[in-house]
Amino acid sequence: MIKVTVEYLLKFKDVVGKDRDEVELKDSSTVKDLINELQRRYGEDFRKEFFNPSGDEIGGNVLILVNDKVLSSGGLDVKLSNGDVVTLTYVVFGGCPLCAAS
Amino acid sequence: MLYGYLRRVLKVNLTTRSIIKEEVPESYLRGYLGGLGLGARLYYDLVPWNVEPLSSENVVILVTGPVQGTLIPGSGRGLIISKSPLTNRFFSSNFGGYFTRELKEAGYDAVVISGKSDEPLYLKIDDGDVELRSASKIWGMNAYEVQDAIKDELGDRKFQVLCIGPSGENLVRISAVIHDIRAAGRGGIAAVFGFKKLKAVAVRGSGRVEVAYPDEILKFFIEISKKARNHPFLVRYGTTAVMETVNKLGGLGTRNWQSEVFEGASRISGQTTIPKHKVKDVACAFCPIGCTKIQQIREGKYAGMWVKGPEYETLYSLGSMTGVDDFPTVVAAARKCDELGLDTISAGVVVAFAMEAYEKGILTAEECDGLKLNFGNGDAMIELIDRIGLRKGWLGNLLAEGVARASSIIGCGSQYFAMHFKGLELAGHSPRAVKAWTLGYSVGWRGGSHHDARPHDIEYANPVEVRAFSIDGKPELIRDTTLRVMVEESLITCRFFGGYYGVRTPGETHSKIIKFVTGWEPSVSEITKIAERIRNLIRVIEVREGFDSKADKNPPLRVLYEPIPDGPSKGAHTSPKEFKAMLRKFYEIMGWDPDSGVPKEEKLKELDLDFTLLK
Repeated sequence: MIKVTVEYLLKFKDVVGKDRDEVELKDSSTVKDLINELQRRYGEDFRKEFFNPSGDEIGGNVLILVNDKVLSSGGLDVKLSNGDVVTLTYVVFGGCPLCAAS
Repeated sequence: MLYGYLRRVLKVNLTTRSIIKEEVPESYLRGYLGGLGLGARLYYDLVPWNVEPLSSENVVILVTGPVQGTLIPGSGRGLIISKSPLTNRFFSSNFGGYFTRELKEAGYDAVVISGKSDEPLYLKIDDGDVELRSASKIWGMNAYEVQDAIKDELGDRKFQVLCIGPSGENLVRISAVIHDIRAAGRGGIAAVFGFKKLKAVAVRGSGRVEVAYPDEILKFFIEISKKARNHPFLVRYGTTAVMETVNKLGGLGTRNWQSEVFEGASRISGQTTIPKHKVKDVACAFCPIGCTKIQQIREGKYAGMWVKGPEYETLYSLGSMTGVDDFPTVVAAARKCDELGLDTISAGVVVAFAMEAYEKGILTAEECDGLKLNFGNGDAMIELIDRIGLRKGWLGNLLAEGVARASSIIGCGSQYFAMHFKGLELAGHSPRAVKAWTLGYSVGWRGGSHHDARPHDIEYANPVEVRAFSIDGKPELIRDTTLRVMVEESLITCRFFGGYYGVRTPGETHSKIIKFVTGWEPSVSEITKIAERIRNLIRVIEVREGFDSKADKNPPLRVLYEPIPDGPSKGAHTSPKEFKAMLRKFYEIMGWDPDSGVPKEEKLKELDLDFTLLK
């Protein structure tokens, strides 16, 4: 088993009601496995926040960082290691966010 | 006929006290849209070449766009255009609130104020009744007091007031014009007001703005409002919560950009403070978001003190830049700036500059007039802001000149860490962690403004290798976002609606907005051409005053030579070689001479700017 830390920023923090989680996953788990686990824990509200309205893609506004590095497209298959920190936030920054478009 | 415009400009001369109303030619509206475009054209017509910013020849232009006074979401914005006493060049300062809606309802697209009075005055506009009134009794009042005093004197709380505080009166070059609780902060235009002895403009309108398709606008308002109310952070936190994510990406200017990671970010971020300190949400005219959060301190020596925001930019400048992570202290500093009428961004950057100079031994304790200007000393920051705003003491008076002038006088290598582009203190978006910003700030007409180009909205979604370590595609990105900004600044729509109206380039939604409001339906290519025309007209103004490529080639030395030392963007900077390559490419794709940066004759002709060519 591996243990990863999940940090929640902005609306993710409001949806799950906390700053961070410790999540245990099987060895060789991917970011996608982690997201599935978070869906299981937090249900429909989390799913609606994370995915686009059709439910099959990550919302265009969502930004996932693994150990402070932005996950590029297709990054859901990236394998996680024990001690990794995954941050869920949005493309933001002061002015007009991309997130508004989705 | 074009709806949405009033086709009238009010011209006030403070020397002669003449007040005249002139028609705006339709060619100016179709050619430049309004806002920045219209203001640039009026500036081109009215301001003599190489005029001194603090002189009676300089003008102040308060300008609206077609959407002000309509239900278009994000229309509660306005522009003040003048020659900046801080940057010594054409400048536009953007602000929110209700002033421009009221100005349109009073019957004017723009107000042009020229000349200089010998005694303090304020301008009252009550529909067609326009009057210059004595401001002797209100001269010296802070920016909040004066708005109340004017409304009381006029006996009508519905007047919307634009004013200056003591900093503008003292000709502080980083002073801000204040409206309600908002600021046209950048560029020191308040000092132009102060020089002209113009304390305020108060406006009241009883008319309405006729639009071409009112039913369509109402549908559009509802459609956009539904999306906007679901925004993942602006509705709940405003911009206050942006701190932590920027910090997480390693792009938060910290201790005068010696680092881009601030260990105290979460302590001053809205996600921490809003649940405890927010007392009210406030919105600009016809805004479904309401991003403004009023926060109030509950206990301690600043108990009871409230402030707008502080917005992300202020949390950066008065927080991470100065190393202050005590939220009440940041609130008190922001409040001090608002009352004095100081630009919070520039104020924080000059204080951070002084702190670094002090810690490096460049500024002595004696020169700091007894202040211990170590990073993190919040009390010293507040005291220094007061001295800057009132030009008190040697250091306060010097820093009131802005960081570029101050560093050139302090010398001893301090220019290396004077964080400004073109004389304008750097906003809170990293030109190293987002390499495109090094170019964006450099070719902006204002300089260190986060509103000239907007690459970070797009670049922060990219991995660090793309956003911070590659120059591929950056000149094209800056061209595209610059043109988008030209449209936003000319319609004058809020940046927070850019995500709905077009993030990278002018688009179909801009065309739709123009059609609904004016009845005219320019194609996207026509709008793009107008955007190019506006940027090129401003470039002509820059060039005729001596600001060609030489002025574009001066990013802060720290950005060029000092890699980010730590954090997620560690190692990022923009080398001179990379910068010059981006700059040259940008000039080429703009149709400007790749060496001088001057628009080519064929480009100006293509954009119907033949009149700018020297005969």
